[in-house]
Amino acid sequence: MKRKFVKLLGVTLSTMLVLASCATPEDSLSEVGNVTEELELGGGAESDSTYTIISDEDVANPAVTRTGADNTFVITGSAPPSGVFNPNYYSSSYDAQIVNLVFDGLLYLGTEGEYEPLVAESYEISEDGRTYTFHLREGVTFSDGEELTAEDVEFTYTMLADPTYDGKYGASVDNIVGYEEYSAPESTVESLEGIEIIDDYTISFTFYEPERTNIAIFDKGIMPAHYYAYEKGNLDPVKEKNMEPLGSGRYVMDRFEVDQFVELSRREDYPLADTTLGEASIDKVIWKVVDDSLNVQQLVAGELDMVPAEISPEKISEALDTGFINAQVYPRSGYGYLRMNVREGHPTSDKRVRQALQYGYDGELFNQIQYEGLAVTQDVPFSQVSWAYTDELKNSVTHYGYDPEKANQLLDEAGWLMEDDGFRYKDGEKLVLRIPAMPDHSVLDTLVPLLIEQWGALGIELEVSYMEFNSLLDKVFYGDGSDWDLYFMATTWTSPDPDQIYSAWHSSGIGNGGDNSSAYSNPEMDALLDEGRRTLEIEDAIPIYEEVGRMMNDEAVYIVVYANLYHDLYNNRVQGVNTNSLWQWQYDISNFALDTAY
Amino acid sequence: MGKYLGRRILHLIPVMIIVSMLLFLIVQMMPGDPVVAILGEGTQITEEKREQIQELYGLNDPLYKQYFLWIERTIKGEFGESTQYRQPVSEVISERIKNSFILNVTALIIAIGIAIPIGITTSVKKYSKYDNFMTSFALIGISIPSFFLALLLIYSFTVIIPILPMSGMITAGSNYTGLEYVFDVAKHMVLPVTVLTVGSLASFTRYIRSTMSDVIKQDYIRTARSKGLSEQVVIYKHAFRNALVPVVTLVIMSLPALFGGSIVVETMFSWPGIGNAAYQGVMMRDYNLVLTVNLFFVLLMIGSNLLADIASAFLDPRIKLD
Repeated sequence: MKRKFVKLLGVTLSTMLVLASCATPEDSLSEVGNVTEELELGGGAESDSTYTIISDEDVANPAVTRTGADNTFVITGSAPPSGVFNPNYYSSSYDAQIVNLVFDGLLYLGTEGEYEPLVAESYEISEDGRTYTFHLREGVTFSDGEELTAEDVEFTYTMLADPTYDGKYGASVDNIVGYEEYSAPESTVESLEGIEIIDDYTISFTFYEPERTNIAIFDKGIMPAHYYAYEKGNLDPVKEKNMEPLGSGRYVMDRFEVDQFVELSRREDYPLADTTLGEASIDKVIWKVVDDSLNVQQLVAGELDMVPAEISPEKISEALDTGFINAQVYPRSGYGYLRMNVREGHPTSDKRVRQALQYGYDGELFNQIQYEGLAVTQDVPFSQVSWAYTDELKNSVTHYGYDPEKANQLLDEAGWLMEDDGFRYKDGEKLVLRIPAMPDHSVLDTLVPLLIEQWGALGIELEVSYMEFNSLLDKVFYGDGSDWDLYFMATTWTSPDPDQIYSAWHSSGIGNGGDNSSAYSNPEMDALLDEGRRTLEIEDAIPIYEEVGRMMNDEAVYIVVYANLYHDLYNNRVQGVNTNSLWQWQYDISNFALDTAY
Repeated sequence: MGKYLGRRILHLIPVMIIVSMLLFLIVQMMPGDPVVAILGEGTQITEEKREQIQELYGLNDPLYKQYFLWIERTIKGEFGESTQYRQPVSEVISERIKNSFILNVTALIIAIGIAIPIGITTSVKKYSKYDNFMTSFALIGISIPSFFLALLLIYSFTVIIPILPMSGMITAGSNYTGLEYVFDVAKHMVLPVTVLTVGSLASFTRYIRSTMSDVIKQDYIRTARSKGLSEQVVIYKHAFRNALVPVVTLVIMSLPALFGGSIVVETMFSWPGIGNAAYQGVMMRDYNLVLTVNLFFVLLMIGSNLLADIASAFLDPRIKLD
């Protein structure tokens, strides 16, 4: 419903804009033309590069007249924060932004997606790769003045192993030695064996298995034990403080008005000012709730300073058209995909059919229609910003461009033969693909008709059944897999490490609620993924994942429908913006400055 | 009267039991993994964790037992935790319902305040130019989608003539107290209230017009006229009072709607009401929130039905309750 709504709004808005400026219709049209040209120029750049579109026209900037504008940065997102400002409990990515500003972790994920020390001054990994020892900086304080010590670190991670922990991050500690004993129901074990406090500023974590991704848990915000204190087996006292976060981060949350805004102010005495993350210079940050359909309008009116991760070409043009809004453009860390069912008896269990579907889908055309070219196609379902998505890999895989001839040939080979009615048959059975889809979904509204047309031309009938998102999840993840052949979904990689596809491709992920909805099972793939996970150095892991990527490309279980470009639109009075899909504004804000020269 | 009330309330008990069962079953039947709903979407769940959570939340109990446990907690006033907000449901909804109420009650008062005089005057001058104008106006009001009107108003009064705030209930970054605070909220209310008022104004006007038209045709109005009363007295004292009965019923029956939010208006203006939270609750499988909100509305519905019956008996002595 919402998507259609937004589209309608777009039409309405543009009609009104035309009405508003109808004195000189030619002028306004030519302006729009310029912006599109500019965008196409941008779109022609390297797919995995980040660039900035600078608007530097001498126009009045409405943001500067806003009350308190000279030291306040106002931002929004596409859904209100839920108010779970707790590193161990948040689930919404907007809550995560507030958590990132208020809390600091031992490490943080840097601009290029590598882990940098923050609260920890340094760390070392033992020979066997199982033990991580962190040396904390001295004199790091929470915003109430108490010092952050190893005890707080232990407290934060132990909470996740509590028998009654009911948040999202339990899996991040279940590889720590002693997890099972500590987290068993009614367990009376007092501490996690694998976490050892050596002194106030030294702490070590020992894992059951040495895995490269173990390090990923150490960017979690550290929670003060004295403030969030609880008894094992009852986390209610922690949850009660969800809306009053207390951390050691760059900002302090001053006020939270449910469904309206969050106000934060800079910590004057930020203890880690000399780290690479650094101290912020903007005094106040307001996270303002604005309906998605109006975000750019508010940016244009000067009510907002930044609209992050915008994808709509119409809205982007509208913003750039003003002359005082810049755009930081970067590839999204993720993609939309069609995933096929490879279970016995489905047409898609045949690799040739899957490859035919790849050749039969025109991704370039889709990107043009849906994103006006602000998206790329991919032959391997990896994030564009992953270190595993190397040029080497890209150049060594089959390129599935739009090639209906090849698709027809592959289908013939697979034994699906064209008959007089224009459809393909094999052993008297028609080639029908069943796709469950969400109704009124902006991507599917374009994709489904395109597939019906393009695959229809190959002699394939697409049988679409519409259902709401949760019903779709039930069907593809919890069902027996007998009643669908493929479905559409989108994914976002939260780190550049390709290990996150493990459960979606490993045979252990098949079955009740597991991520491997395709039921793809290949001992070679399993072995590669296991080996990749155990490989501690990224350098050594790259060739393994390149092999994984090549195998994925050949198996063609996923069709990457699009990988789009995100635009952080911002008022040009904000200086120093250098965001990308892993280095989002809540980190980069340390480098922002507000130009008060207006 | 007392006897009647007692009987009505007794009747409510089986109604409530059936409704609560239906509600519980419907929420149970919603597709989606309850464990994922509790932990958060995209969580990696091991078998052990799943077991642990199912045990902790009593998901392994048979359905009837879960139902009785829920009823027991609800009667005690424990509505559980909202998985989306990680807060007690009562806290999540009470503030939001209050905000929706402020918005809706203002719109209702204004709508009725305008609808009564228009309804009366149009019924008196039926099919006049004035009446036709008002009829067309009402038709436009009822046909215009609220999101369109909202956009139009936002564009007109915050962009072209920037005199009103675009969204929210209070100004972000402000620190108003007392009268200043009230004024700030009032300023934020202007646009959403206008949209809501326009939406309901038309139907109220038409309703009052038609009941007034019926009343004016009655014999006692002719009698009043023929005994030489002035038109003013006939219309406002005799006719309007009688036309008021169905209007009061209408107002009472719209009480439940006052507490329910309007999703479109609340989202467009980022008004922190219950409409959007309840909608998101359904989408995010926030079981406790959905159950509590719906139970609340069922109670309101039943309560206002009862109230409407009592009120009409009070206003119209011809209606016998017993």
